[in-house]
Amino acid sequence: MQRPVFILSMITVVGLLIGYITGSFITRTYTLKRIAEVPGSPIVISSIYDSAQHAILVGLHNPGFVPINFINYSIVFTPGEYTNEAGYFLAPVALNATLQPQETMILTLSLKEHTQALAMGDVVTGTIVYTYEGLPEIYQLIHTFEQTTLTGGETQASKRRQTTARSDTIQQTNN
Amino acid sequence: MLAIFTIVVVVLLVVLLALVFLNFTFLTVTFPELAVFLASMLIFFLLSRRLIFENAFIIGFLSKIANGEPIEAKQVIGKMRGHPDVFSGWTPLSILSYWKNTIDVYRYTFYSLFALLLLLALIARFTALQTPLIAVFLETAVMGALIPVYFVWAYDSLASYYLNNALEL
Repeated sequence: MQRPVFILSMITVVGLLIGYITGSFITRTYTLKRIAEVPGSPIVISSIYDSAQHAILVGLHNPGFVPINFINYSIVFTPGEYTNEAGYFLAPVALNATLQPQETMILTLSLKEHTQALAMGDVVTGTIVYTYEGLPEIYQLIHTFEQTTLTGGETQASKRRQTTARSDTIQQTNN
Repeated sequence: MLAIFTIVVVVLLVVLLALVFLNFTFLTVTFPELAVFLASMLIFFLLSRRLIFENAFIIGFLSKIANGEPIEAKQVIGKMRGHPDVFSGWTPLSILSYWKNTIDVYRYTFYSLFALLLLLALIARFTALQTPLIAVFLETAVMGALIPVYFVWAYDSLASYYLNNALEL
């Protein structure tokens, strides 16, 4: 009697396949569950000065897998050499925005009312405070916008500098 | 004797299950799919118990026949559940082929249960736009049940091959 070579080899191949399928399924499920808990810090992908609204429009992207809740923003205005405006600090303005994972949104950071449009060399530093759902810590994102055209209102990509800093207390962020 | 043995085996299995779940308590809190996987695998192994063991006995006897070793009908009947007095005057090969046919009903039930589970998992997976939580658990149950199904299929196909060879079909 001949050995059942074909059936034995078929059983071996199918066994390897089933081991591969179940093992990769467990690994994939476990990894996806772990990845879904990773919070990502928001990334500034664009920022422009809109003269009609007298505001800075900041485009933000959430690269993580946890929704981001934006709490407030504050603004520091540093005058350049081509403006008569004095420097000022805007106290935190409440924001009620939630950025879903892997999505992009535009935040409107309004400047102080009844002030001149931004001129060349003016620097606006916006501090956006945010939290993650289920995490007690409060984080902040500092974005520096520099006006690079003579008059405001044009769509210009600004020199961007972005730093994220972690603050332990609310008082520290409100300073 | 057999009843005591069965009770002991069942108690041992329950203890093993409890130990597994106690050991994996920490992991199953954060990863409950593992518990579903293990539970599905154990349940389907319990369902496939007769299929796997009796097919293994059939393969053993048939390979002895194929190698030319003499076996007696009494040996086969001793390993078999049921009514031994029915088989007076039967050859070992005819008893084995009868035995193989009696466990076919378990095989069809087993495959039907797996197909039902697979169907439920597919329905849960593809009817909703957003994948519901139960779909993941059903899929994990299917993955756990795949392993006993593979063993059943392997033993059954080997037993069928040996039986067809012995009967020269």
